[in-house]
Amino acid sequence: MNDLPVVHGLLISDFNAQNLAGLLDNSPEPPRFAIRHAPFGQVMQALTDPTMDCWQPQPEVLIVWTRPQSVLPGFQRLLENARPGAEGLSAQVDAFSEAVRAASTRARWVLVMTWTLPTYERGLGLIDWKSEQGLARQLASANLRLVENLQVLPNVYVLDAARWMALTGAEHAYNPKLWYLGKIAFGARVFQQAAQDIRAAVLAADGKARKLVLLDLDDTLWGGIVGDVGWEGIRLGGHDAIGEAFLDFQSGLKALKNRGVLLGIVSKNDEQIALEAIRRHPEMVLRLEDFAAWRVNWDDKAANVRALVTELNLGLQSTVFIDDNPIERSRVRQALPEVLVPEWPEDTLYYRRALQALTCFDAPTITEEDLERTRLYVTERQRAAAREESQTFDEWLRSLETRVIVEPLSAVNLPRTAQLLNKTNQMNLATRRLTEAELQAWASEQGRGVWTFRVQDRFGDSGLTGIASLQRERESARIVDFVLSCRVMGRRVEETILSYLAQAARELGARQLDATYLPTSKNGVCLTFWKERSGFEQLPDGEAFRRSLDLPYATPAGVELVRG
Amino acid sequence: MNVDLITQQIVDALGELNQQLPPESRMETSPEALLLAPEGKLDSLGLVNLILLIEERMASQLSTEISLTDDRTLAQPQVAFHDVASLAQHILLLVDAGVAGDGAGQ
Repeated sequence: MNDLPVVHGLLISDFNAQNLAGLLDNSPEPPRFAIRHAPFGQVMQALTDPTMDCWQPQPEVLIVWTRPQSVLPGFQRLLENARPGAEGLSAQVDAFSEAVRAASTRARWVLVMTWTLPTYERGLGLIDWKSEQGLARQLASANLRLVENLQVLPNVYVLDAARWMALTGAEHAYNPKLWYLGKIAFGARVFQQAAQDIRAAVLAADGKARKLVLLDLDDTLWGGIVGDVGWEGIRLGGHDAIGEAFLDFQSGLKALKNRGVLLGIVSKNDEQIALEAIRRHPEMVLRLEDFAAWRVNWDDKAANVRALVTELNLGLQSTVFIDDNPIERSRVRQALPEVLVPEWPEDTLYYRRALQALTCFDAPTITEEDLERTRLYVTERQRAAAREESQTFDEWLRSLETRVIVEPLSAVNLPRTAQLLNKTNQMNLATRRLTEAELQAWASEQGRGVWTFRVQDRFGDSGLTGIASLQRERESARIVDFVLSCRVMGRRVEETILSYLAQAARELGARQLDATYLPTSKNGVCLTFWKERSGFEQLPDGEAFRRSLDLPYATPAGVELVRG
Repeated sequence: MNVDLITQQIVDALGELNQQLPPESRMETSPEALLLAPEGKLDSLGLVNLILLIEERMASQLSTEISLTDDRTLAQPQVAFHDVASLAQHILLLVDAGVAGDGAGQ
């Protein structure tokens, strides 16, 4: 933990939030925070005045947590059953949103908590939702307007504070004693919930979301041992509480898959029998096409997890392993400490709740590629099968009919481009990590260009899987970013991107292309490519590469380069 | 109810309080720990948090509602909150006197 870089945070609140800062700073879980807070009670000043001391040094994450009656004067009037004022609450929400927008340019990520009221505030009672002056109704309306105002800001995320209150329970969420004695707006348990979601948000924004869930089968995805009772005898669905709980758990997993998380199976079973259950059981929610890959055999589960993660070109740090058996959990945890192995409830009825409690899948965006991710792996299985049938690598490449479509960075492809830039570790020349706003600002400078590459073949569309950027430097054009998803690595897409960059560099008036490899613990494969296949000269320092643009750089045979 | 049970709740509350405190301000978690004593580390914000944590623990762990925010206690907090032992005795007196508080929360 002490090796992790410190994430500097600024907390702006209209109450004493030192407890939250302390919980974030003290947590043994990543990320490692150093939180400071603006003078409490000066929310609008702190948001809008960049010269205030609290902005130095510039924070990476800004946390804004306010109470509606404090930042919306009209809301205080509503608490007294008076009208909120001539301008109405909307204008006040807009003014607050504008202040957040101004502050959002001074931090990489901004987390804004929704407004809540103490649960003992009943407003107008029976007609609180019926009357336009109802507290609950006005609060919902103000929150919705806030969310709509902020959703256009790519680095701003709204966190649901009401959920923390509900999880904590009314008795522990608000205690007037805390407020009157210490100006502390919420109980310790609320801050604990908030700290957990803030940690998850920063990990997500930083591209650290887990991407793969590996699942046991017997007594995890269904009840019973399929090898003993056959697929007809397993407990799944039906008029049975436990069967319904397994069904709901599978449904929760399907929801994860539909937001881009990959599912895989690691099970000690007879493969034919286990897969038959998935194919044939009428109530099975998850079918084979929902799984990116599986290892069903009698081997050590830790070895199977490692092999399967390698097959999917992911890292162990991207993986979650779920198994009902504590011995298997312990084995995987001990052998593969980077894999998240959550403790799992003994009672099946709590499986779905345990799944929903995992915050490690939170991602800052959900792109089209995320939604298609499992299908991409399924087509990759077909591609690999075709490779085995081909006599030679070149024959296989030609049979794929690969098309690489290049497009300049645009508002449309910006979210996916930033996502790919921030999460790609292996084929990544410089491993730059930039937010959408930072990337857009960088690309807008004179003499720079950023392009995206979409890869298609006869098996399907792999989506936006490559990024390259150039920066003009005197006679040279420097390749700043050279990023390729592991999904399409090794299919001559790398050389195709370089052939395009050679054209683009010529159009910029450059006479040579330069690139500098910046090593990390994970991008060794990139150096290997540049040394062995890039066609660039390796300069004496070993990590710089150069190619004269007098030499043509042809697009590889069998690959079509298309300008989109 | 005996003083040892109460002492344990106070020590546990100090452990919970420490989760919110920077390393240099963390409290000793033992029955001998000093609180508002001159050599103690508890500051005013820590005192507020500790009061609430103890009230919540007394309610949830010992099913006993107490209030540590009465005028007499807060007028001279350094007396009752001098150290863990003095606080445990103070709470025992409240419990024995049947001075049920106004509840640990709302």
